[in-house]
Amino acid sequence: MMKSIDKKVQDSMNQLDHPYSSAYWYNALSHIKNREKRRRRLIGFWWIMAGMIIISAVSWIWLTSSGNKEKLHNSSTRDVAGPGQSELPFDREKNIETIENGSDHNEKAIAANGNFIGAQISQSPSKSGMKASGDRQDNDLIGENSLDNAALTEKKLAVPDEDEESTEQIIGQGQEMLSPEFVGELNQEGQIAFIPGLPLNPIEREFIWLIELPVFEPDIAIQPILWNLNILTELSVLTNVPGRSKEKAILGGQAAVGARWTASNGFFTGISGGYAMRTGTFGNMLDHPTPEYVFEKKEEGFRLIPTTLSYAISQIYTGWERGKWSGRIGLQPMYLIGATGVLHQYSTEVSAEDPGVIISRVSKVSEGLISAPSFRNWAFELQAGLEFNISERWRVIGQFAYTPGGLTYPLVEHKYDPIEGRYDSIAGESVLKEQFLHIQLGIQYKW
Amino acid sequence: MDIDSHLIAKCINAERKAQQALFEACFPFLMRTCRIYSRDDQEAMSHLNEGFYKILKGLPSWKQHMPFENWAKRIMLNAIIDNFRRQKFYRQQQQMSPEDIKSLEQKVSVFQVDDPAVDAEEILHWLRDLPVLTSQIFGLYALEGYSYEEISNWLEMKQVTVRWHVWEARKKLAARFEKVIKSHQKNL
Repeated sequence: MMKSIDKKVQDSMNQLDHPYSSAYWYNALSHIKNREKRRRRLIGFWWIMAGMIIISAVSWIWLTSSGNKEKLHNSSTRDVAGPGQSELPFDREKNIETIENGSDHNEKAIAANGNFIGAQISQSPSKSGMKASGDRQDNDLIGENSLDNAALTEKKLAVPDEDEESTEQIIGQGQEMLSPEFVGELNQEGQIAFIPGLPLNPIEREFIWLIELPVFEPDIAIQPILWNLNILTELSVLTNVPGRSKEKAILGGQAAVGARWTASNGFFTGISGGYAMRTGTFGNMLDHPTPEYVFEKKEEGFRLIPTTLSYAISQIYTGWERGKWSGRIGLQPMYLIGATGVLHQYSTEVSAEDPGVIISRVSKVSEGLISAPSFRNWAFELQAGLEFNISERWRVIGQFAYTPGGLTYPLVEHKYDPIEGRYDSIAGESVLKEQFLHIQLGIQYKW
Repeated sequence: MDIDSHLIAKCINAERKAQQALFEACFPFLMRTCRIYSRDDQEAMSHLNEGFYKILKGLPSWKQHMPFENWAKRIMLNAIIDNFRRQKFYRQQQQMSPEDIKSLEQKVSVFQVDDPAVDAEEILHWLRDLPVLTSQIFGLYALEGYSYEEISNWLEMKQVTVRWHVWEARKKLAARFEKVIKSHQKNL
């Protein structure tokens, strides 16, 4: 009977049967549990990442808003001091002298100024201005810039003879207005330097200096700490500490993007997230020979040797900056997202009489993604090191990284027990458990 | 198969006993599918575990009017194909000339064989001996009844490539059948 190939294969496959055993269910159950656990961890990881982003965003908004307030405060202080005066080469000693002698001098000046101004006012306006400035220099009471201001004020005061009376009135008003009550009012309103519509006389100028002092020189002790935010990109390579476990080597690299807050006092803290890879001669993760003794001695088994481990990383660090150098410490949680490795399956048969005679040897090596055993996914590194600023944007980092307990290992390895008819769970070996100390070199770019 | 909505509801609530009952009920046809599309029984078991996990996750989307076996089988095939896609050799696709495509349908009709008594396990072994992609495509076309278009969309490849793989599988299987027939004749 002629039959198409398709039909023949279809019929045969429908007859295909495989006996059920409860071992299949236990195996499937263990897989389900592992997948559920991995899913929960992944969800947890994303919650942590989301939390970190929210905390960063809130911190950034908070820090920048307080920075703005400070900026606003500084700019308003400068406005009060007056545009010219903020740049004055301020002579503190002279001002202290002014404060100490102020009352005495001003009393004299107030008493004398009526005659003095009256005498000078009759001369030409420019000369009277110069003369007034010269007197101030002789008395060594005010700074150079004040002299410029004084000159300007003298020009304003240089009024024609017929206005002498009105000038006297202005001086009188000035004395009246510079009473302690009035100065208090002005201080509160922040309008000390310039009183709109009122020309300044020499006495006022003296008082202006006295009044301005507390505004001009705020107490340094209560200055707030300013924070500066930078976005950073970091690349680094990692290897094991030379001289330790020579037979095994690790090489790794990582790339991360993060944010760093630097305080005006040098303290800094930062977070970052990215990808890390670890590769090297890790050694066996699983090695299970199963010897059998029948007519000959037979040994079968497999070795699982990981070659590359991929991680999602997040980093939290803090430190102190002094000039170009900084010291830092950090914590880096790592989540295993994938692993590749070599599976070496082997079978050796030796003579029972003479173990040195190998009857047969079969060996098969396959490389690819490791998915059979479930791994411990979480690891973390403790870091401590130094940073050096090579330019305004570039910074190099050298640090030690310590991974307690090694990188990863299979949590359970399911092995079928034919006598009991079930799968036994055996914990696997950790990768690089003796290789926990590494040197990490990195470079950071500030955006 | 004793699968009802009550059992499904319990499975959704993650009751292990119910999940075990569902696993036992599905095992014959799921394991059969896994064995056909795997290189060995170890791989078949791995597919079975992953596929059954996906079936459990997908249970809330199952509707009562759907035949459960077909629905579960489809999820299992999806899981197998997903795993297959991740492998490197999936990228190695065959290229065919237009002449080859024309002659293809004629050639396929040639593969008609007598019905020799060949064990199902033996035919499974032949299928597993085929190149992986060829075996998978032949299985989807000849055993599951998917059309060339469906397979080409599913595996993201050209229809002619799918046709070529089916033809290649038939050719190789026919050669195996021929060999068996000849040996039978010799024995007679």
